[in-house]
Amino acid sequence: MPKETRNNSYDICIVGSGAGAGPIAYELSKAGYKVLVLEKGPWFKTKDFTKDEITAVRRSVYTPNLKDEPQVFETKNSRGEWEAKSNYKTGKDFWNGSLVGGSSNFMSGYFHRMKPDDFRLLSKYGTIKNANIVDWPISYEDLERYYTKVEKIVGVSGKVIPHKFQEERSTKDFPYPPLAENVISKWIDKAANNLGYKIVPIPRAILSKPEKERSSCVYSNYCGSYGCASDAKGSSRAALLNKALKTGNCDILPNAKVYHLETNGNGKIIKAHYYDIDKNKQEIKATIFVVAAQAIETSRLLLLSKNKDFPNGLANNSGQVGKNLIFSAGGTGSGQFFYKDLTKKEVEELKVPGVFVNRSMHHWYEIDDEKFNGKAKGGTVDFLFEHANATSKAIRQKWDDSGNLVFGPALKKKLKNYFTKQRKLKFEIFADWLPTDDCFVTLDPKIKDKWKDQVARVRLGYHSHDLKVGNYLATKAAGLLQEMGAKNINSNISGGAPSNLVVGGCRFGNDPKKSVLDKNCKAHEVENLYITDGSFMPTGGSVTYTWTIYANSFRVAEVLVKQMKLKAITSSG
Amino acid sequence: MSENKLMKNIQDKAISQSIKEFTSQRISRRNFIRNSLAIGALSQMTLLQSCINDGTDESNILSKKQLALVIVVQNILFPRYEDSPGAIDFNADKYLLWVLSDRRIDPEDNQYIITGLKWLDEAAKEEKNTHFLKLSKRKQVQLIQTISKTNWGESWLSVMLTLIFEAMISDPIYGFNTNESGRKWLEHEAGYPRPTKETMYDEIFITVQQNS
Repeated sequence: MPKETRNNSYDICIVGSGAGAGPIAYELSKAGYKVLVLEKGPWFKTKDFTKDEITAVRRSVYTPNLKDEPQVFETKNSRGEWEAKSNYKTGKDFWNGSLVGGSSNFMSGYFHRMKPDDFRLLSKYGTIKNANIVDWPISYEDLERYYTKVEKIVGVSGKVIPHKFQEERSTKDFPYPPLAENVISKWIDKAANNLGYKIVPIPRAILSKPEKERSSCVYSNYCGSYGCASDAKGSSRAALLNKALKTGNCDILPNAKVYHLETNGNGKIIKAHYYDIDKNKQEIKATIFVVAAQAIETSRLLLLSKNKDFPNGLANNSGQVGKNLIFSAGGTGSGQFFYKDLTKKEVEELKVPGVFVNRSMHHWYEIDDEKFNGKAKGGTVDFLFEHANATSKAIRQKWDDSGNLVFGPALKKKLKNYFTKQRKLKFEIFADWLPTDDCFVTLDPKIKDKWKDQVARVRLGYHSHDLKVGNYLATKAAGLLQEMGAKNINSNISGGAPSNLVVGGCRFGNDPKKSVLDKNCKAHEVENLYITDGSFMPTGGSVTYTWTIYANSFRVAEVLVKQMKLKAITSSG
Repeated sequence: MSENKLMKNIQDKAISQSIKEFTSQRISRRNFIRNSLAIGALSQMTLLQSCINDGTDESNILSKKQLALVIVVQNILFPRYEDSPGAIDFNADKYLLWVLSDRRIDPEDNQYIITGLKWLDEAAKEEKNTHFLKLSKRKQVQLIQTISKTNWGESWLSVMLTLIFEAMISDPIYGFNTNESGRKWLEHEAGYPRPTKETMYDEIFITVQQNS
């Protein structure tokens, strides 16, 4: 694709190319509409992805240099005051993938649907003091067929096992069978059975058998944080954008950083302004604009796009843009299995690399315990092996149990033991990050990026209830590891914001005074602006977000196709 | 000088927040564990050049004395034994020079590595009135042990160790870990596809621009 676009006007202009963008490009281009995708980062093709730890993990290859594109984060200091620091100073990197396909290239593809009660959290569980909980303007039933669509088009492998919180499905099972599993999955099942509850397989956005243009998983042992070299992983790039390109109706322009959306004075966007790779200012016209730049940057673009009609930022006369940003609450834990405690056969089977654990605990998706005064929303626990990244594993061995740096023979012994005499099983806890007034996006008044535009400033406050739920689930997960016979079991629950699990900031709702978007994710205040990344989510459920973002984007794509058809009829009539 | 006094003197060294982050044991949730060196505040390569005063290595980045210090420190941190490889076996010194020459890494962070060499030599002079390189092997190890208890020493040695680990795990295509001795010793299996001349770090930036 040349630096220039083929046209200077499109039916649809999409800002961003990740999970929120892919379905729009796919559906609209298939329906015959001219689509332009403006992506800030470069265009890595499938052939460019390898399992090189230096490139993929140890350096900022897929994300911007923080000197060029810093963000500012506010956290509470020891005196309880909010303190803002640029991540250029702290190194806390919240970029997740600036390239065609966005961070979906690097997801692990642990796919869970949100459950029906997640759409009516306020009605079901009531208010929690200092939390801005609301019901969604749509229900699980409204989204179900789009979840199913994602299973088929993006490709989700797995097996449906009935359990007490299994959501209703319009199809019996997944279109792709489960991926191959390590023997430890059976050990998990057995331990849960002993404890009297059910553990279920985790659906994965990874193909277990080939699809027309995509190969099946090759079990490389390096999945999360790495781009997929077989296209088995259902990234927006591999599963949707590549197919959109084949229609001949979709153009992708990489290295195009949108910095302003221009309106006509009547609440309608007429142009997207962007910098090209040479930092020259360019502009593009379109009928409809879709923003899907991931939550923090989507809110930032709207706030940057202020003008006399929108003095507080585009679609922000309500003052809601950037508010109620949410992450995923919870934390992690782990336990070790030492080979000396196992039979030779068990060790051989446990050491098999590449194959997955794929087990999830949903038993406490709803907690019914007097510690919570009855029923409360709980969450999900996913089980997985420690990542194969060797440098990262070695780094964690630099300190002894007392926190002292070790080196020389002591370090070498520690490394040898860690790498060759045990395998670590981890768990990751996902609970609702309650929306509060202490978690939001604004523009930093001073710090600017390499294009001289104000950067995002994010306050990272969390609700104490999040920790209570996280700790409850950690106890259950640790109990399972104990039943399995794991050693050195530990967990870490904190209010730290996971940088790759961020949504909200432009919540959808029926009241224009309390939400940015209507139920179809169109801005209340702007005639032709849609937001289809995770920004629309007013609450996050207790699962990873990508499946819901994909499903919702397919839902909005259907609305847009109908709207474009209606517009064509109206114009011709 | 007693250990306590030595620690008091050298704990006052300034360590940037970015270095603290880099060396901390962060637990990430399905996250990029990007303990990259590409963090910091300054932007001029002149910082590195300013340290050159007594002849330099081939890449013109470290003085010969600085490079000698690097090699000695690396071999103390990660020695070679009969049954296991050491830093020398995967050319950790040359790997460090490669990192120092990487223009994508912030010069301030690379300068920290060089400043640490200076501080180490200062610590040797404070304790033994001589340069670190002139100490006996036993006293060099003792001094490393001592500074590892200080804030600056722990941070700097931690960075040095991270770079040794990166060299030990690096793909042979980079030219350091050519016989994969570290990987073999740890029974570590690399993933496929492995990097090529077109997809290895640095070259990949050129490769992807050709896609656009």
